[in-house]
Amino acid sequence: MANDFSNYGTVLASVSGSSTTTLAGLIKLDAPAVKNPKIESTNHGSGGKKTYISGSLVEIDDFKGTFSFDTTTATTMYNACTGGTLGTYKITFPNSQSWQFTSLVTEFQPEGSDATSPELLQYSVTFSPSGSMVIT
Amino acid sequence: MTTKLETLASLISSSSGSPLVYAYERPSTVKNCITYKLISTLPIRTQQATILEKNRIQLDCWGDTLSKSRALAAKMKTLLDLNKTSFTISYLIDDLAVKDLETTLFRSILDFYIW
Repeated sequence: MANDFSNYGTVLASVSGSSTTTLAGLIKLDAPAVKNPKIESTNHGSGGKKTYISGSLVEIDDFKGTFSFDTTTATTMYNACTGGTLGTYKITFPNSQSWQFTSLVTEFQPEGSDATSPELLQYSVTFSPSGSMVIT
Repeated sequence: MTTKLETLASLISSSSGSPLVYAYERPSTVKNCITYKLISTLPIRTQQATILEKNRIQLDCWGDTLSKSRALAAKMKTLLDLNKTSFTISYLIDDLAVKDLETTLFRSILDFYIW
């Protein structure tokens, strides 16, 4: 049991120096995929089988967070999107492992409203990480 | 949730015509009244906390005639459909009318979501 965790309680925070501010209202986080794409290395000596080597070019995919429409956090995210500057963010998973990275916010979108079936007012944000990920 | 049900009962009893309202069970001597019950509770969560509860509430609007039952139902729809004053929001999701074979009373059944 000690190594089994639910996925409830993931925290996304913005980091500024030694200060960490939890981004309030996070409902759903599509955590980023970390990729190191392969390069095909098949040659005449491959014996009729395809072969690959590492591209050694690590990238972190864009990912999306969905939030309850808390005005303060929404304004912060909107400003991050329109400002276009890199910010530092940290995801802390329920197993206490943290992933810290720098990222642009490339999309801010309030979710649609449907009068036929009212739901919680939400917005989504797309993060586009740049550079490396620090795992602690 | 108790508070939300209490708010609901208070809202109904103080509405136009002061309808009689009871939780779950109707006194056998009372014919024209409203009973309410909690059908389900769906928590709405963020990663930090449960921020709201979405409750499905059923109102039974009883009448010794169909028109009395439907008149009560109409009042309740006016009172509770899209009410953003007493709750985060309440809204109608179903409305049907039946004749209760056991009591021979008419019963309009209204289902609401109340946040």
